[in-house]
Amino acid sequence: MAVAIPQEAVRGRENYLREGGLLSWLITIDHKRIGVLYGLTSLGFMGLAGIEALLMRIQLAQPDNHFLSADVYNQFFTMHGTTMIFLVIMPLGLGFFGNVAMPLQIGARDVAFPRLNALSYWIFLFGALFMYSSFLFGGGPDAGWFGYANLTERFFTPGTRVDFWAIGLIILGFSSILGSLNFFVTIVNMRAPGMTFMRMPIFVWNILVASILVLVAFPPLTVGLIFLVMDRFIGTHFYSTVAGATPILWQHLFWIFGHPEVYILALPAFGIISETIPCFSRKPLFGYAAMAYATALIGFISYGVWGHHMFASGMGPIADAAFSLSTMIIAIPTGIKVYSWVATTWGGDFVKNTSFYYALAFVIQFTIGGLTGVMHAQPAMDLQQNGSYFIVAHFHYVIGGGSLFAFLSGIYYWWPKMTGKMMDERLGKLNFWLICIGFNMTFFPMHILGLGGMPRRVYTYGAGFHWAFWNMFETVGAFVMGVGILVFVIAIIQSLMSAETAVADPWDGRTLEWSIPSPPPIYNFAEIPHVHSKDAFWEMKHGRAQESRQPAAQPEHGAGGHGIHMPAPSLFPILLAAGLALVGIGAIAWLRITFVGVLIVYLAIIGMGFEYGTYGEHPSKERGDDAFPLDSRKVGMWTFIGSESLFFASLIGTYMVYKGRDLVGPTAKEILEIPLTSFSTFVLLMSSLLMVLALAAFERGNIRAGRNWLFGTAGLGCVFLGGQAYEFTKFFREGVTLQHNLFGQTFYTLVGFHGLHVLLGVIWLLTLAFASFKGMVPKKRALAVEFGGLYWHFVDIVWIVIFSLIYLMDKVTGA
Amino acid sequence: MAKFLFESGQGAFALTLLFFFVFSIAFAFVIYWKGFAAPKPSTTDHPKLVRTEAIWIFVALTLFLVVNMSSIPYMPTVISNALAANSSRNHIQDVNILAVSWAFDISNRNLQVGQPIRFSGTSFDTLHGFAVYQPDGRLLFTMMLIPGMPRPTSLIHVFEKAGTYTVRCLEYCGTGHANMQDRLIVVNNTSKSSPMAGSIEK
Repeated sequence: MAVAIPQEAVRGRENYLREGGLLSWLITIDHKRIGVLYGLTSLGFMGLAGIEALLMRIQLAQPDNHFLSADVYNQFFTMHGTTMIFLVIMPLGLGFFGNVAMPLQIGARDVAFPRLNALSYWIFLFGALFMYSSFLFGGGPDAGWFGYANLTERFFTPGTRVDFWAIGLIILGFSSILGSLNFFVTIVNMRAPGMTFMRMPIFVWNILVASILVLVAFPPLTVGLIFLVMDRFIGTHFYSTVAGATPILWQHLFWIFGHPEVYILALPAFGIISETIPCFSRKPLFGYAAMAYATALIGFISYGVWGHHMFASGMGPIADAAFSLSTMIIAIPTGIKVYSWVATTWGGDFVKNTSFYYALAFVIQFTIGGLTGVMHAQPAMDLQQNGSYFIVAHFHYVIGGGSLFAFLSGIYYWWPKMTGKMMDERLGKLNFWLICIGFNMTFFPMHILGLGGMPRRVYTYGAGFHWAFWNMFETVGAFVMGVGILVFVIAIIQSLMSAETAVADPWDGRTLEWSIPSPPPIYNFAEIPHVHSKDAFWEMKHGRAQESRQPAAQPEHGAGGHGIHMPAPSLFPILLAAGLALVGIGAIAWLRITFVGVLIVYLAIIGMGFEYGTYGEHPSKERGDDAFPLDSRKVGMWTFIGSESLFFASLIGTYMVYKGRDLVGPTAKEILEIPLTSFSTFVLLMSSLLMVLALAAFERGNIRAGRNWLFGTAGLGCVFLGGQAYEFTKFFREGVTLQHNLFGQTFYTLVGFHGLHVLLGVIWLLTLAFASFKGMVPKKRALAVEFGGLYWHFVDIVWIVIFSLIYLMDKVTGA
Repeated sequence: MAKFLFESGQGAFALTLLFFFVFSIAFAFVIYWKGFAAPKPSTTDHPKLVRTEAIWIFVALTLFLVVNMSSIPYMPTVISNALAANSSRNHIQDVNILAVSWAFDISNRNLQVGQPIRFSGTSFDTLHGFAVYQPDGRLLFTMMLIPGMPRPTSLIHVFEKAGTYTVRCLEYCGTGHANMQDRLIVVNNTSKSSPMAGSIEK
């Protein structure tokens, strides 16, 4: 049994929480600290959302109540939903647990891009504060968390409320995409040696799939929000009915994002439960492979079910039946998960602690929510519940009784690892029972109220409907739950004040994070472990007799804790995030602030790009374990390009949907000029050739030639932009403006955003070229040029698609 | 039974409770007898459990497919299409709805039992809903009224009971949303029994 475990090799116990003063948290890039920041921020916003919910419950406790006005109630229910989804559950699941547990579970010293990690946290914080600051300037957003068009148009909701909401969500989207890109690359590229995909802890699987979902789902939402902002600020008609558009476009864009989003909220919770149930049942997870495949399957299918949110919009029987079937099918992998959790507890030897209680409650409550979800998949049934309190009950059971309970289980589970302290079990049981009873008191009667006809999103109701009793009952339940959360906060504070020190492995854990001290040292693993099976740490401790001679996970000898270079803290992430927030503030307040923001963002990016230039290599190469199959930055660049292509796919899709629905001309056929654009296309393609030459020159070490090719590439890019500027002015003169017709707005948006990407590419290449004057792009940093090149080629390929779909197709089919 | 499932408004909840009843018994059994009362620490996957899982997936998939397929004739759009195809045009009474924040303009609020009625609705300004509630408070059907669509959203429905049916907006539409209500009066057909009255039964 007694085999060498890595913690014996650790010399000092450098506590990541105590290193440096309070200010060092602002520039930290340590994933554990960023995780803690995410957790604290999310819990803070959970408090706000909880207060909003309690006030709403007071208002609804009695019929014809006037505690809150309709206006205030609408702000509260909008912000309660937006906060819980974007500022609590999502950042807790991905940002908090992803940061605190995932890198430790895969045996990494940090995530692939530590500064990007900090950046996504700061963008998240500033975006959230930006959105909430709306309450200071004429009230909070009040169009619902789903923001259905065309209520969100300027005409129907004047003022800045929806502006704050839409721009805030765009900012938060940046945070989510960057954070998930980081996790994706980390999991793909930085697993400990020997940890194949089928040996990863199941939590890591769930974070991986959730990250992919974010990367694929957020671009459509961003595009939808950009349209909304354009409608509100420059008077386009993407969602208003004036020019022949329909508000239904928003519903499609929003739910293509919205349903994967549900799984973005749920998958990290599934992952946590799949860790805590085996750990506290003292058994391996039942059906590991089935769980992993089910996770991936959920990810795939979740893109084919968005229509079930729109059964009432009259999509027709065929679309209804198809979405209904796909929605039922997605229940199968989810059911596999529930089955596996139950089977894991079969024949278990339970550790009856708070974390396990929360996990069991999760399984029961999530199953209730899941089952009502399957029922809604039938349009026949759904249309009898759509828009009623039944739906409110359903998704609170999934996201509240599901994800939130799983997160509480996870907090109790990983708390000793995070802080080195134990949480009090008596307080824990107390808050479990309070929250569990309060939760079910609040939300179970909503099924009954919903079937009794109570609609959602109403600030009050008449006395004649017999809804008063259950509403009062729910309000009492909500306060019980609120007290439970308070006890939880007290338990946290009590634990932090206590002096008790947790051991490295308090739960007899199965995964690698329990093999290092609690709290972990800054570098996590003194020696990167070698993994030979799943449940690596368990095998190491309790492996079968024939294997005990050859420990399942053994430290890599030789490093011995020497020469671990962790990347230095950086000021640029917080600076860049502040710049981004300024861009948003400027859009609402005073446009000049936007330009200051853009400048700050640009300078911060340059700062980040060349920060490590002074001392050579990127930190990922300095980790003493450069056994990674690929360069993380390259994987990251490709991932970013994948996400970007979905951004363009959404723009092109919108163009296609609105094609031929203009009320007034001229449209594509009459106005587009093939000869001129063919020339621009040729120029852009040639620039790709020069880019290849530039990269080759840098790789050879011929900096001068490389620089000249770079200037050439940027020059050709400028020619292309010039052609576009000429084309745009010409169209403007012919009367096709952004506000003129559907063709105008979709064309300018699509081609304009592509032009913006070309412009960014030109700035990028010029920055590289000028930096090479200062010797900042030596031969060994030729990769920096390659990334610029990858981006440039991507932009060119997008143009080929746009050119053929928009310019050529119309002419060919029209001729 | 299918009628109860898909048309009563209680079907979804009943099915949920049915599934959940089985699940909670199984779960309580596993948790209590296998874990708390008589723990039997084991470290491997039971082959028996694996077989059960395969069977369970198959059964669930079949059940879902059956429920799904059997629900298709009860989908409001399918019922509408069937009614439209079965009856000559003059049998269907047209009721036009125009929603304006925050009220309904309904062309005819006095309707008859057994008469197929085509509700065609659109919205003047923002997105609205047109949801009809039975006299006992349960939701009967709902439509989304979307401004700017080339055709109005429409649904054909045959009322089976006389009474006062509440109409509510079910798409959030601003501060007046909660009070955006109306009512339909459905009376028994006194002149003659409609030929369409029983068509929905089959």
